[in-house]
Amino acid sequence: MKKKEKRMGIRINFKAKILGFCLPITIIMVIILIAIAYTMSRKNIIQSSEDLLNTSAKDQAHQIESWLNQKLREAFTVKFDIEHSDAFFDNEKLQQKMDSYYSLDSDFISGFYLSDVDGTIIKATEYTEAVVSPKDQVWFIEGLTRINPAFTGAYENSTGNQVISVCSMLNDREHIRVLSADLTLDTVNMIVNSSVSMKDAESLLIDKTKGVILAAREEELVSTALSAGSDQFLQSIAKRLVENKYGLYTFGEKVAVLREISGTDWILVSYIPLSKITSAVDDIRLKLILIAGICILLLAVLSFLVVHIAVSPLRKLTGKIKAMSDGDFTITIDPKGNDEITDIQRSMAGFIAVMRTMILEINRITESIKAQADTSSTVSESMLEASKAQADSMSALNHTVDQFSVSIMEIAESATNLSNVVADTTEDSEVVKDRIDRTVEISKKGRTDMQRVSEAMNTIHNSIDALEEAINKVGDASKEIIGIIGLIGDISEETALLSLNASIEAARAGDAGKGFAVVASQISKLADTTASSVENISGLIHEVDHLIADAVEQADISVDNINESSERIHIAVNTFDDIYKKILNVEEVIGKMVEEVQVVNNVAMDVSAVSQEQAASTEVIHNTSETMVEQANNLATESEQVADSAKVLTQTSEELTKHMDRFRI
Amino acid sequence: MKRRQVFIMIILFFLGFTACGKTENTGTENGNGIQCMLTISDGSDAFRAMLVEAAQTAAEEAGMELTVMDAEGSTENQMNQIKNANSYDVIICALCDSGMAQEMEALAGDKPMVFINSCPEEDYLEANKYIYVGSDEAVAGNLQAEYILEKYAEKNTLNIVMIKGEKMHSATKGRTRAVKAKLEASGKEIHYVFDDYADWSTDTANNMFQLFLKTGQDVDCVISNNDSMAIGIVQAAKENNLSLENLPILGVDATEEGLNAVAANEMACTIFQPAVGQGQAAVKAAIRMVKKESIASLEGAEDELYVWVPFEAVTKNNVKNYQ
Repeated sequence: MKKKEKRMGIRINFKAKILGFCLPITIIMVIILIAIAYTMSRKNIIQSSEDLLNTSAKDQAHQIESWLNQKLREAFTVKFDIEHSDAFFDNEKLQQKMDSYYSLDSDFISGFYLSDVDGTIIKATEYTEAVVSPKDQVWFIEGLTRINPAFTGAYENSTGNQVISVCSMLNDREHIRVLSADLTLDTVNMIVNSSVSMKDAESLLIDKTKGVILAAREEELVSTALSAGSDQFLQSIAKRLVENKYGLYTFGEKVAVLREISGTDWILVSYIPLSKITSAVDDIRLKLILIAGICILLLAVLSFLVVHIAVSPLRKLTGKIKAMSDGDFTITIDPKGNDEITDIQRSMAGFIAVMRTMILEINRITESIKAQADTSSTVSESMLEASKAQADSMSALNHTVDQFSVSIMEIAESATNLSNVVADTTEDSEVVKDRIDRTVEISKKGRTDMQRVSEAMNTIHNSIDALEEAINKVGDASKEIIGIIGLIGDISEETALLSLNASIEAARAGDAGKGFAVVASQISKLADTTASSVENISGLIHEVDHLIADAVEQADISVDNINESSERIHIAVNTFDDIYKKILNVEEVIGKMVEEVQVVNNVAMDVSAVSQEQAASTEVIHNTSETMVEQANNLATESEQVADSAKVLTQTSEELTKHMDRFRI
Repeated sequence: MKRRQVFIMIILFFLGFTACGKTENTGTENGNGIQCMLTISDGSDAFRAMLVEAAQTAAEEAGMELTVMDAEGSTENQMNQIKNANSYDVIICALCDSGMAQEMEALAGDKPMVFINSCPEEDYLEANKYIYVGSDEAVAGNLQAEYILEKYAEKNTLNIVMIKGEKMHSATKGRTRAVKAKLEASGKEIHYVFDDYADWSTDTANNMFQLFLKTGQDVDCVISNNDSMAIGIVQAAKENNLSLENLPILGVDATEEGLNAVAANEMACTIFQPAVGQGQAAVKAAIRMVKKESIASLEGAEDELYVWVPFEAVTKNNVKNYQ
């Protein structure tokens, strides 16, 4: 039961879907169609009913008009006859005419009758009713207003009947006479009611000018005022009449057509109960609903049947597909028939074949995948280790490189220092060289000077010799001088004597000899001076002698000194030579040293440069090794990932195998 | 590019056409090559004669060929005229019997028709196919009533002689209904001491009035549906030595006689019915309909069914303008 129910469940589902989709739509469409049909029909029915009412009202109006016209024409004919016969002047003949016209038309209950202003009445003999005081009668008064026969309004005649009259004057200027004939309102009523052409329609004839109902189906309404009474319908009509609005109107429960009767002041109201129209509409509505209902029912039943038949081959197919969905690919499908379902069956069969092959393939592939996954796993593990090792060694390398770098830095530093020192040294050695050079020069110069000194010594020696000579000469000279001085002393003495002599002579010469006295005094002074000078000079000479002696002494000393010095100088000179030679050596050495220092400097600079480069290189190595470490780490991580993926792959392939186990082929 | 040029040229081409078409809408109509038949119910009537004349003049101006046929009051004649109107493009028709409109339309076949003077029921009119050109009769009636009410503003009772045209004529119905309604609405007591159809005829009206006078009833004024009948009344009054000063006689149409009578103080008032205007409008409408254009653009057009040409009251004061 459960299984059947389950199966039934599937069936209903699919069927229900189709039906559930199509049926509502179809039903809705049917309903819409019916609704449209109804609306259109309704409109048409109402329109047709209205048109029918209009037409029947028109028809009725025309009938009434023609009836009225007929009466008018009869009256006209009678009048014409009278006017054109000798009865016009002859009352007897007139009486005969009246009598004969009595049977012209039974509608004229009175036949024709004539009256003049004096009240002389000529009427048909067979008309037994009395025609009284014509002058006051409606027919007479109105008759006076025209010569073409026309209808009066309704009035009560002398016998108490509601009548209308056809009346007019005769065309007689000499003798004013009014010809008239009566119709009962009942007749009018009858005509009106009998001329109704539409079923269930009713009519009213209303005198517009007086607002009085001339004809109606309900006898009580006849001759009553339209607006009197409480009937809403009549009130509405009255309102329309006042407004002079004619045509088709719906007043409450009734649909009425108001139409003028041409040639009169009468209005025909032809009406039917609204329910007539609505009943027709309702009727159609009912029918349409019924049809709709039946259609829907039929649709539903047919749909069910059709869907059932269509669905049944699908049922089998569904069973097979279900087996398939459980993994059973051992089933076979046998395509039958030649429609879409056959196509499905064929496709399904093809599908099963394909699936079988595919499953085999998948199984095979799954195996290989598993194997590969395992391999991958192992490989990735070893890769992981390797990369780890690599990372480690890289780190070590890094470390070493770091240290190397540090050393290099130190070297560089030292080299730089060295270079600096060398630079300094070079500077110093330059200075030294400079100094050495200068020293060399100086010593050269010294040597030269020494040489010169030596020469100078020689010169001095020579000079001293010369000096000695000179001094000796001086000594000689001084001796000479002494000699001279003695001479001079002698002279001076003589002079003093002379002066004295001169003074005496001068004194003797007296004035003439003053001058001479002066001169003599002067000469005496001179002699004194000379004497003093001689003394001085002598003193001086003695001094000079002393001095010369000293000088000679000194000179001798000097000569000794000089000789000493000269010796010393020669030694010095030699020493200087030695020094000079040594200095030259030193210079050489220093030169070499400077050169070597230069070389050292160059080397140091090279070392510095190289160690800078090395430092840079170690930087690079460092960075590279860092990168490599990173990469090694990455590799490690990735290897891990690969390992993980490989694991996952293994798992997946195991799962796949598990799934594939479901299928039986 | 070329395609677009061609397209533009085509548009300009069509515009040119419509422009050509437009020029004919305003001003003078061009009715060249159009054959039109005018069937008049009875050309002996003064007003209708004016109508015919006006139509002929208008047709000439528009270059339309107009053939006038007089039905001499007979519907049968009119039917035959229309039945044999195959060579015409359009028919202008003054119906003998306004109830025969449908019949006439059927006989006319596919040809458009302009009704004049006698208005058929609206049911039988069709937009731009069967139309009516005329003046709104109710306006004439109203104007007459207005004159009376003004003249007798203080009087509370009026005795009126009503002389009407042909019984079935739309003018009769329209004018009479309007004047009576307006008088009723004034609240005064109105007695119609005489109320009959004189069929537009002067003599008939004359005879009627004479008869009326014999009845010895009092009368305050005479309202006539047209001038011809009013003239008849005037004649009758004169023959009976009545003072026309105290007896205002009103007509409609403002025919030459009517205007003279008003000028001579014999008639109190007439209502100018523009026969010329109606005739011209009828011709214009006819041309439009033959050319399959709408009459809606004509002055006084209503619902493409009517072309109203307005009435004007003519009294002693302004009679000179119309003579």
